[in-house]
Amino acid sequence: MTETALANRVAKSGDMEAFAQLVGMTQGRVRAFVLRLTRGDRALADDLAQETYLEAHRKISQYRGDGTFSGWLIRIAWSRFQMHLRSRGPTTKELEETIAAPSHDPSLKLDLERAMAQLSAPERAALTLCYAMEYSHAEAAELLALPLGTVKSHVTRGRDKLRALLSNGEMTS
Amino acid sequence: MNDGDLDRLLSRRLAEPEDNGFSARVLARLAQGNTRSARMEGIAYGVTAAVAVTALALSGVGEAVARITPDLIQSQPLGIAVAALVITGAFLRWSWGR
Repeated sequence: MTETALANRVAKSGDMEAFAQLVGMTQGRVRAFVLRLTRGDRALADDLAQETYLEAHRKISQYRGDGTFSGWLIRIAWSRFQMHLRSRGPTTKELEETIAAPSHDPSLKLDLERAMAQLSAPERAALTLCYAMEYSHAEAAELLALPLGTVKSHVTRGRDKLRALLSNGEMTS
Repeated sequence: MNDGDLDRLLSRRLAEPEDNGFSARVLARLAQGNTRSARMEGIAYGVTAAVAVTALALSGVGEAVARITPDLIQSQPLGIAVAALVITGAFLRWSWGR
């Protein structure tokens, strides 16, 4: 059964087995995305992913099936992550500018992950969606609730920063 | 690093974490939330019934109704029994939801 069909069953009859299947089918993708956003903080990523599914269950009647269910979850996860950032500081932008220090999570062994950790959250999200998760720029813009031009800027700027970080030898592990 | 290398690196699929009980934790939290909602609903029913019975007793609505339908004046015990039933029903609903 497809994600959309399962989501419809949950919305119509509150079928918990269908919701359990949906969680099982999508959790890897959602958690991987959130883990990238949290720069490898697994505990925080799992908390945010759980909140994402709870909100998805509450609002499942709002899912119209015009995109993939995973995409809808990604949108909620991004919104949850932004709420988390706001709860920690005055504004997302200020916070993002102050967290340029690389993560000390020992699990971030790969050069790319260490370099990614130095980008802003919107840059990490845009690059992850457009490359690793194979969304188009337009789809990423919709998921992140950002104008298309802004997403393209994040992708370009993020790529430039990554190239510099990965080329200057700082990232050799 | 050239553009091709960077594209290849960025396009690598994200390593998806194993479930490791994640789904079970989500479902447990959902079940917990449902229980809490049922409990709150039960409490709301109980409070509403208690307020309604008190308001009826204090506002004189009961007497007004009794004046309109004289038979009811004879059946005050019936009114008390109905109120008791409503409160019992609300309590049972609340306790089933626990």
